[in-house]
Amino acid sequence: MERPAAPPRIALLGNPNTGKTTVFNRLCGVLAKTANFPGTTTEARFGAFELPGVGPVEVVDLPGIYRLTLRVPESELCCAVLDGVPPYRAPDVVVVVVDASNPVRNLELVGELLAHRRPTVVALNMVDLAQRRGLTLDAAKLGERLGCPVVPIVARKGTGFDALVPAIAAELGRTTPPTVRGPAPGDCLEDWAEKTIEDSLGGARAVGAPGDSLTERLDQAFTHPVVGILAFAAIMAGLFWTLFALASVPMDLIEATFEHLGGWVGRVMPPGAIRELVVDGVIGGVAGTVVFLPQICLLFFLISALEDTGYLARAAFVMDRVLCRFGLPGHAFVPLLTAHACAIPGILATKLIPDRRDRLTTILVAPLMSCSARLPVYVLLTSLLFAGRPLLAGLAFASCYLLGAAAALVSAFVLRRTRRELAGSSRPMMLELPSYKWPSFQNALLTAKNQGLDFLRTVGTVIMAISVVMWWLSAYPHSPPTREAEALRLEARALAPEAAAEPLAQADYLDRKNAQAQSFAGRLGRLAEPVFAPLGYDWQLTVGVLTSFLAREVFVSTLAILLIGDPAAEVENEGVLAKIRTARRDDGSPVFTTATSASALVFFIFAMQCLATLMVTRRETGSWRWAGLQLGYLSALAWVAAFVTFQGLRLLGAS
Amino acid sequence: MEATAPIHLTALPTGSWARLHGCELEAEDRALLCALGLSERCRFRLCNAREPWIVQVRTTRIGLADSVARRLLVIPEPAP
Repeated sequence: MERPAAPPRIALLGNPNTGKTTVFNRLCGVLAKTANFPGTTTEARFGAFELPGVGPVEVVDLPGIYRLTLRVPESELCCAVLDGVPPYRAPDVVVVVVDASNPVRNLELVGELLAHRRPTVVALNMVDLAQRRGLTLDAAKLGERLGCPVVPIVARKGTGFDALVPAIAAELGRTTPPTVRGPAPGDCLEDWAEKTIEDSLGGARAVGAPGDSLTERLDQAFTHPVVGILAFAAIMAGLFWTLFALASVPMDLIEATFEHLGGWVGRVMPPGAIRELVVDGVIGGVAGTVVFLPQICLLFFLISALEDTGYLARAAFVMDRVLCRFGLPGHAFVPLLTAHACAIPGILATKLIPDRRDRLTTILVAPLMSCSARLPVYVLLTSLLFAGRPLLAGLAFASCYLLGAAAALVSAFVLRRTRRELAGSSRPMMLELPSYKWPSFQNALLTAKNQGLDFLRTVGTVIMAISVVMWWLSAYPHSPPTREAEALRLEARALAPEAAAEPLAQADYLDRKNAQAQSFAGRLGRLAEPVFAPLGYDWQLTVGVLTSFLAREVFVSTLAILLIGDPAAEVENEGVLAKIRTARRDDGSPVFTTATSASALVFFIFAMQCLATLMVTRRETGSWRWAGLQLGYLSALAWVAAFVTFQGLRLLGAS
Repeated sequence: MEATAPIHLTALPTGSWARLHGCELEAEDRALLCALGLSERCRFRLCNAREPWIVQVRTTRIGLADSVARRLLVIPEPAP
């Protein structure tokens, strides 16, 4: 017998909120991976497991859909996969996960699937919940009616899988075409589903599904115009407090680990270009990115858990009242809030938004929310602006966040009215409000793992490559020691070791400053200086802005190196701040005036300045065009706002 | 049986029962509403008479924005 080239494939299909992903996790465990379907931005999970009597089988978790015939990308994709339209391979068996407590609507999808005449197994999930609601279906009767195996399961508890797995194996081993019995052509799908359920009842039936008083009360509270917003604020505050409180420990650990690793490699490797490349380029660059991993994993863990509870659908309605005025849907709130931690998970979280135009608009404005990478920049610049006036510095700091959020709303408003592809108001909200449930720890854990790996794969590799390039640009070509530095070193030789330390440090400083100025990055700074001169920046600040395109926080370390020659400098260090404040341009004037500091602050509130975010936008939108638009409009907005700020303050006499 | 005239969903009080009569939505939105379970064939109960308008069809609870609820015509029905 000829062996097939690829292992058999099982597709999981079902309505949203039927426990499809839980079934997938039960079958595949932790070895699943998340990826987009080829040529789309629709996410799917791919996994595999060993099927007794069959061998390894692949499992693909299709997106949750209500109908195959709906004109939405997810439904069209499911049809293409089921029919094996290239580049997809048709599944050998389709497992439809049906919510037993809501069988009629779920069966409508089964009816549509049966028309595709593929070997099918129906996994009748949540039978325990259905029974509590007074609805008992006879799986055997239903299977007879549909012409395919129907297996009752409770995916959350893992019950029923001992029958589901052999049923899948039996369908895979089928040698004759399936004899499924779906609705006849021209039949009303809803009538067929109703009749099928009527014929398969195995017990009492809940008549009219009386309202669950707890659900009613929770819905009343969570969607209330005032209580709903307060509850939302409390839940989100709790979520972000947990995020920052719990993520800080592993973040510190990662930072310390990379610091030790860099130190160890620095000691083990012989001095030279290779050591500098590994320590400063590779380890330094990767550390700057990987440090955000705990935040990302924890955030997706918490969001997955929150989504599982059924609350997010209610929250979407609460926020829809505010956001819809600016052309954003209520679903956009969680991604935008998430973007305050980091724009990357914020953009990844836009997968929660069903409409593509809404999703694109949210992705385009997400980088305007002030992320944690902006914190060191805000701290530095507000401290320079309001030295010795902590109240004003605090107010300016808070204003940065408000200004970013306001700009995001206004930008969404403008984009919806100026881009043909985004034109029109958001789709009116109509959402299924899933039952309230306890979240699944396993689902949340797997989501966090998948998103974490995804982050490392898509961002870490790019960041590492760019870090190496940026290191090379700032390290080469090597410059010979300056005469002043050589003179200082000669002078130091004649001094006692304690007294020699200062002139030696000064000599190093002069050499580093000269090396920076003569490096490719320095030359680039001088070349680009005319573009940023109207904003008040000299070549040193220009290099800071250019290198911060890699990541915003690089701005502070670049300035620390360029202006004071101390690469280990920290923003909190008062000495460093004082030195940056008193740093001079080539003509002897201060680098940071009030107008320059304010201009730089405004620039960083609006500017894209994050290569990793740009790459993620490219990946999530499936096109460089959107990434280019995002970079272009945010850079233009930042430049114009900084220009107006600088020139306005100069006119007012602030310098 | 006396036929009741259709009214807008927004005119119904909380807790009342009705059946969808028609809607002035775009085809895509109409199809989604139907796929969610709210079709002319099903009775539903109005659980929340303000935004989000929450209707319950069988065991499915569906939330609707004002802009949708205002465009739905329903025929009130007696409670079962």
